[in-house]
Amino acid sequence: MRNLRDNSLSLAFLIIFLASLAGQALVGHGLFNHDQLLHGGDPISLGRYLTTSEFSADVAENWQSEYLQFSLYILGTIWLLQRGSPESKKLDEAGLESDEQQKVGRHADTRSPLWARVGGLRTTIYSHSLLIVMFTLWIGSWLAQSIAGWSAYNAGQLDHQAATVTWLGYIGTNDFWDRTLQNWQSEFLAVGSMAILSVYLRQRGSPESKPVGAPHDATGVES
Amino acid sequence: MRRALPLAVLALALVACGRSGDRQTVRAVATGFYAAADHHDGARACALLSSQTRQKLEEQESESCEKAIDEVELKGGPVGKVSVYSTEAAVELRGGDTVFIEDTKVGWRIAAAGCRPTAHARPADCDLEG
Repeated sequence: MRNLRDNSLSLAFLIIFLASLAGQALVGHGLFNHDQLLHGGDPISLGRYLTTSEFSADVAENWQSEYLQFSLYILGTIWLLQRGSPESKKLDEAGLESDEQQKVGRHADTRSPLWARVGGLRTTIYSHSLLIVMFTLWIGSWLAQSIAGWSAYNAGQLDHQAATVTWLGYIGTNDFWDRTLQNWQSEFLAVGSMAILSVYLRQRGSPESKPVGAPHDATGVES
Repeated sequence: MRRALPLAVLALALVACGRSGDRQTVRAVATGFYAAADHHDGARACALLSSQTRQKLEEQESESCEKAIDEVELKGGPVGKVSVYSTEAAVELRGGDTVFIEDTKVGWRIAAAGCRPTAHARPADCDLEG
């Protein structure tokens, strides 16, 4: 029970992620078949729909923008500041900070992760591991979006007896950049909104908020 | 990069290469159709058409598909490029037509045949289409 409580945040989001992915599959399947009928085609099964490039592209385009959002957020908050926001570091702490502040090498303690203690390349890699993984997940899912989107685009072309394009040709199309940019704009809006709104608004109990009574210009302060 | 690779490979496997057997199937549908038309086997040729394409042909020619198919201008040839994307496919016959094939509830069937490409952004000009 303790494990459940101590991991409730990740578990809760895993559950709602799976539920919404399942929901997306169902409504996406319905939409695909609606389009099939409009074009005089036959509806397909849910199982068949899950193997289509249309479904893969719809999933991947959202994943890539989420991982880009967090990559930029992680990277940006190293150096960029927002007075009064709990999302920002304190105004005099921009940058990678000292080894002592980051508890690496000889400044690590007995409970520090091994790679924080050992120094050298391993500590360097571990020091940037969160950004490395997030960035890699972004690149991977963007690549997946480009491949699945290319296939879905070409399926649409063939449905209209039009010429297909190469993958390189596809990543220059309005279709690829429309899928990409419509997701990016919402992610950047969300982060920017959070950075600003958290200056003036509060949510009691959330670590994403300043304490209710904290002043508006208190920066880098969380509950 | 180790984490990115499985995601990209998954997408590649699922969509860029098509499901296993689809390429062989659409190739067989295209060659089977042209062979049937060449041998004036209207029943076999019409069985490989999508229901919408078959219906449109019968409406246009005001006769059964098995007879009307003989009126369609088809130019066959060895199979060149086979493309399969999701539920749509195309088979280009070297020196001949391009055939557009779609995945229906009864399997892959011909949506359009006797097609010749036009300007890049425009649909091909087809003698038989749904």
